Amino acid sequence: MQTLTPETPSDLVELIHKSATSQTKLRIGTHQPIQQSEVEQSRLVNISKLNQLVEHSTRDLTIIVEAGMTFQKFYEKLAQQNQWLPVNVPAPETTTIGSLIAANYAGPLQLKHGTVRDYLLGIKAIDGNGNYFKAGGKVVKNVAGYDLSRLLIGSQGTLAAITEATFHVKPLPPRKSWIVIACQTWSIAESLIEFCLNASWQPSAIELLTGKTWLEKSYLPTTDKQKTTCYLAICLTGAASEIDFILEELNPWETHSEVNSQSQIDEQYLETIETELIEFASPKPEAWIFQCHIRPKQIVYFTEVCKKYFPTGSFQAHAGNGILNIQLSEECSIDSFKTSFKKIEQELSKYYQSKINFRLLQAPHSIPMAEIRSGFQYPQAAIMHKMNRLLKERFDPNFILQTNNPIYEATAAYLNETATKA
Amino acid sequence: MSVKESLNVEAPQLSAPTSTEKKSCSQSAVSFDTKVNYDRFLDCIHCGLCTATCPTYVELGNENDGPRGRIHLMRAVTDERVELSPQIRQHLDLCLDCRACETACPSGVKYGEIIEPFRSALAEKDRNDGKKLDLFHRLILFKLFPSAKLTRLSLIPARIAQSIKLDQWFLNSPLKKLLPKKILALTEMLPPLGANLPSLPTHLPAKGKQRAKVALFTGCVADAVFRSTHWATARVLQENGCEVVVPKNQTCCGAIHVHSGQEDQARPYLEANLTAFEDPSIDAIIVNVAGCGAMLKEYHHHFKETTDQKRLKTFMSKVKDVHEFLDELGVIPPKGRIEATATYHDACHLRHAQQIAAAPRNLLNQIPGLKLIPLPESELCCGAAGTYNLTQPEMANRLGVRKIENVKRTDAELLLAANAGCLLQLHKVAKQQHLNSWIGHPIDLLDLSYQQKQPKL
Amino acid sequence: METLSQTSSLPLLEAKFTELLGKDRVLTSPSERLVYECDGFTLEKNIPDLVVLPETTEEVVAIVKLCNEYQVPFLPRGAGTSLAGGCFPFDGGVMIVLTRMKKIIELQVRDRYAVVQPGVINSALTRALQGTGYHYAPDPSSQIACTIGGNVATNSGGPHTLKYGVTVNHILGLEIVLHDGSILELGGPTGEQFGPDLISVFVGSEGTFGICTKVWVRLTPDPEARKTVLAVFDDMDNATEAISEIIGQGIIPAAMEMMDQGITQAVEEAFHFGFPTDAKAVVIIEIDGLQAGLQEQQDAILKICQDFGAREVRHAQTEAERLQIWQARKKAFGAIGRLSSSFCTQDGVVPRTKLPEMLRQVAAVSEKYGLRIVNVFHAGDGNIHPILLFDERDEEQVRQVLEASDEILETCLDLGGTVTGEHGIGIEKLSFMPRMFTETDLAVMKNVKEVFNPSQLLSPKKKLPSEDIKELKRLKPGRHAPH
Repeated sequence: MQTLTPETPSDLVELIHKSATSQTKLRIGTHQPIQQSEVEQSRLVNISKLNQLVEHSTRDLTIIVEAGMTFQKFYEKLAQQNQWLPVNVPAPETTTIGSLIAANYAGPLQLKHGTVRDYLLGIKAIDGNGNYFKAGGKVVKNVAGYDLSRLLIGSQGTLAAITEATFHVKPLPPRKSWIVIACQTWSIAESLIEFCLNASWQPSAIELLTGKTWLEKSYLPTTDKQKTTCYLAICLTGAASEIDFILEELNPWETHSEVNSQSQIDEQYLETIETELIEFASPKPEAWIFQCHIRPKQIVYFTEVCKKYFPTGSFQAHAGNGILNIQLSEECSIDSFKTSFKKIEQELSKYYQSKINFRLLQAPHSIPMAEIRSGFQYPQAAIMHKMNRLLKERFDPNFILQTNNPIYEATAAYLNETATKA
Repeated sequence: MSVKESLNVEAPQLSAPTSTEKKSCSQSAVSFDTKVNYDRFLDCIHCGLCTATCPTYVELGNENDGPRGRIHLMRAVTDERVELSPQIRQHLDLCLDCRACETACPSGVKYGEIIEPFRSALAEKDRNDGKKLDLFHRLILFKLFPSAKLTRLSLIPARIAQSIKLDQWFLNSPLKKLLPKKILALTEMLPPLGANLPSLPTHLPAKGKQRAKVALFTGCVADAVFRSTHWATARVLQENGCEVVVPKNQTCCGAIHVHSGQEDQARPYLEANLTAFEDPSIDAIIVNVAGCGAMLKEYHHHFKETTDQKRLKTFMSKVKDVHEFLDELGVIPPKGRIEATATYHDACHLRHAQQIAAAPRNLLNQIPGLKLIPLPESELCCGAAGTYNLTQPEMANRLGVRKIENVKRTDAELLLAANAGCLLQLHKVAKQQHLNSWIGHPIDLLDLSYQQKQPKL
Repeated sequence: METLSQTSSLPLLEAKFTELLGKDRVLTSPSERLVYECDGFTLEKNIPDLVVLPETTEEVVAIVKLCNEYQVPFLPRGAGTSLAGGCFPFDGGVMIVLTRMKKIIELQVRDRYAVVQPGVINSALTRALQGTGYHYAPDPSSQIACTIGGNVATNSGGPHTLKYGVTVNHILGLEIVLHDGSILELGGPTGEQFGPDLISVFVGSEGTFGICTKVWVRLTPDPEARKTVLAVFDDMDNATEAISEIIGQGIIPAAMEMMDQGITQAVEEAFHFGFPTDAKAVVIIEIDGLQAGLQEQQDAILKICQDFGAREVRHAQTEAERLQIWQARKKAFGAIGRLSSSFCTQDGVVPRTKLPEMLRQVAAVSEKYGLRIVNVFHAGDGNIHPILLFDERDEEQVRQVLEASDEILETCLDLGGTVTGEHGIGIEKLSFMPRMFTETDLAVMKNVKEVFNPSQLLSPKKKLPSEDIKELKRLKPGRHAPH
């Protein structure tokens, strides 16, 4: 099917209007669906021409850009003024600002720097009725009207197509370093995490990495790969004097008997490691990716248990935030997951009362969507599906925006369930 | 009603002392607007910052039981927007007069100057309506308590009972039910009375180089129940180079009457005190009970036009809380080590009415070995509030328990408070809540340190 | 709509509530409901028909269901410190007062979150965290009295917003009783949400989307060290330019507050902190973070201030001095009483770089109307609080204050800002909504409102302008409290 490329926001308004009348489904922007095959049912809309810098008030630390600008370009514009937006996105050269908001990409840096919610000040967007609306503004404090800007964060493009966004940005820190510590045992990893979180300084990220994918990385320390249970990658940002101070604080750990090595990532790999850390959880045609949220203090143990049941898997935890991403090969069957998930839950149940949600972020292209639909339920209370459904009906009554989406897969499941009950 | 006309109207006259027996027309209209300076209402901008500092609001969460709500009610009554209902009265009666709201208020609303005249108007209304004060108020509060001598005498049976543990037996027996509620509350509140100390001599010399000549205010209930603290205060002052005189004819400060809206009954006490402390060679009049100190410092609010203002001013300018005085004078550090943990409760009439918070802590920090642990909610009233624990026992107990719970959280061995009422209340609730801390006045502890003695834990 | 007091269901509802909550927690008599007729915004008054004080989520659910059953309007209220009439009961109805829901349910320092009931006082949470090395960052100036639930409803800010963000940046989860009494749980200890960020749209919805009954808040580590600088300027423009430059150079202070000459004089007269009364502006700058980097930052700030012609730059040498500087700032409003018995505080925001222009406009308005206007505000955020002094007995002046306020707020909009940075729309600024937003913008907002509040029984007529209040005319300016 032909890809449409609107030149201006009004083109896009018109396009949506027409599609609403003809009930044509649209897939707008660059962010990835859960299953590539789904894309084919929709008309693709490329917003890469809506990529202008609208306003950059450098001294106000605010920037307004059109939503089709790629993150890479956005990052460069800011860097010219010694500023940045401290979030990471996968494939920055193609991922747009619109996707950043719609997908709510949140990588390693969220520990210190937060997520898109903490930077988004305003938007312009077009809902499924073709209403071109704005919300928020360009000042950091603003309580006029409902915060529709932030409502669109994580909405996966299902409510409205974003055309413009205003962000509050930060001065680029003078220095950034990544320290990688190869840990022999889970317990030393736990102690190190504890140490970093309780220190007077604030790490920007603490990543717990283990499994096949990571062992292959050339930028991680090569010594004793066999003996290494997991790596901790710690990001530090700040003034040179601050970083020096923190490095000194971390120094004594190097000689710990359960620490295999401790090293700073070489300057040339700095970007690589950050991109790979965010891309770990983003679509790959041949892998399953799951995400779990758990209380941060249980993250190491949780990772250990997960690894036990998925010995060939790879794992990445945003350790300070309690988020674990699990990457599994496409050979795994849905049934075997379910058995393993149940066992993991059982093993953890003595420490963790509530149910653990293994949320599917990505399925291999070889698995048919129908199988995925019947295999996984989305972890949410019925009432939540209802709210999402109601919002969808208001914003997009003709269901033309990004309809094949986990949010509404879940809603559909909920609706079926309530229909059966009735 | 002419609210506008009553703007800026100061209380033009204090009603002449009326006999409580006197009956006037039964539905008397007491004009609240002539009692309360209407400008004081206007000072309140209704921001609500005071609410969370109010003990009754903290406990009940009802706007009617917070300072902003009470001001709203009093103003509405004054404006005749609303009838003075029994509910409104209850909400006003529940006010502890702790004045924590004044500390919190950014606009400087003088809450005390609103509620006290209002209460006085209420009392006047009752008198006009022919209501009698209950026996408890008339006899115990207004007659017995203000007389140190009578109170001491009345305590003799209790002293004996305590010494042979008869009081415990009684309080645990069914006989307890025979006593009227308020009297029971009084009995339960008695602290360990200790030895029957002689009253202070009229004159005590300074130790070392004389730095000041001070007069000690001994009050009423305090002199009966806490005479040992008066002795301690005198000794500490002596240690700090103060010559101490204890004027014979001094008397109760009158606060019990004023807080119950009976200002007219308080005036004789004021006059007596003005005379007793008239000696011009006195540098300061030292008070160790926060409630009395606050009252003495605020005499002018209550007796604006009824006494010689110049004389009153001279008197008030000399009134100093003992901590305030020693901290300003520069305390000579005591030598005796007291290796213990202590926590300090801010008496409302010291912290809020007199705005003294740092001085007692500064003094305690001079005691070698003592570790002062901050008390959570130290500025929240303990429920004593003068005679409040006798008139509103339920709320008083709730606040008392809350206070003791907070004390328990500190694990402190010593609990200090600079007000007789607080100490009585803390003793009572500590016993009830099985808290075994040593409870005393900061000056008691300071005195022990000067004497190289230890508190009996 | 027929109001509750006009219907016959009142005694029935009263009986049901009493059965549910007991007599003490249902206020029925007019004399007890009176105090709930207004919050910190006193111009409009309306007494609710019933006031209830629930203590648990279940009770809130039951109350809301009863209100639906009897088709009566209802709205939540916290401590009632709103400066915009957030708790104003338009159609009377049932006021659900949440001040008895004040339990701190969990404090999880290691996991950096706390769970509280909505009636917990903002500073009570901070006090409970003392000594743990963590705090709850949003610190509105009313923090000693306002509740977390109220903060959520209005997305409160505070002096430290500059570095730490507003309420929405610190909310991980919410338990909400919806319009029909069903319970919606969003987020949780890790803040995980699936789909649109409903937490963010709920925060700041001013009680029109539901009643939050439980809040998961993020805890922020205490900074290792702090430094506070006081810069004195002879020229307002220079002061605001310096503020802009500091941030322009990449320094994000924890707070940057400014007081003009009018305020400094009043503060000085009232409290004798030792501020120069002949200076045009005093700027308080606080930086915090790691000791190791702090001195560098302070030196940079000192230099910028001097470059922009600061007459004097002092820094607090001790913690006591630091507290004294902050006390002066926080007490500023109390001191205004010395300048005038009546005053009206406005709450507008402009981009920081527009501050010099904005303040010149404020001065021009002051001159045009012959009104005295003083300024004390969150300069780092561009959040101005011009205070208009007047005599409320002078009707002509009252009218002028209204006009002058509107003119100032219009200027904020013209300069790319907003008419409320932290006080909220409430009822005070409803009339400004159509000036800030197009019909389409408002229609989309209305769509969302109808999802959360289809029957409009919950907090009726709030946040978005409705037909019958488009004509709402303000008769008197507000006499506003500190912020």
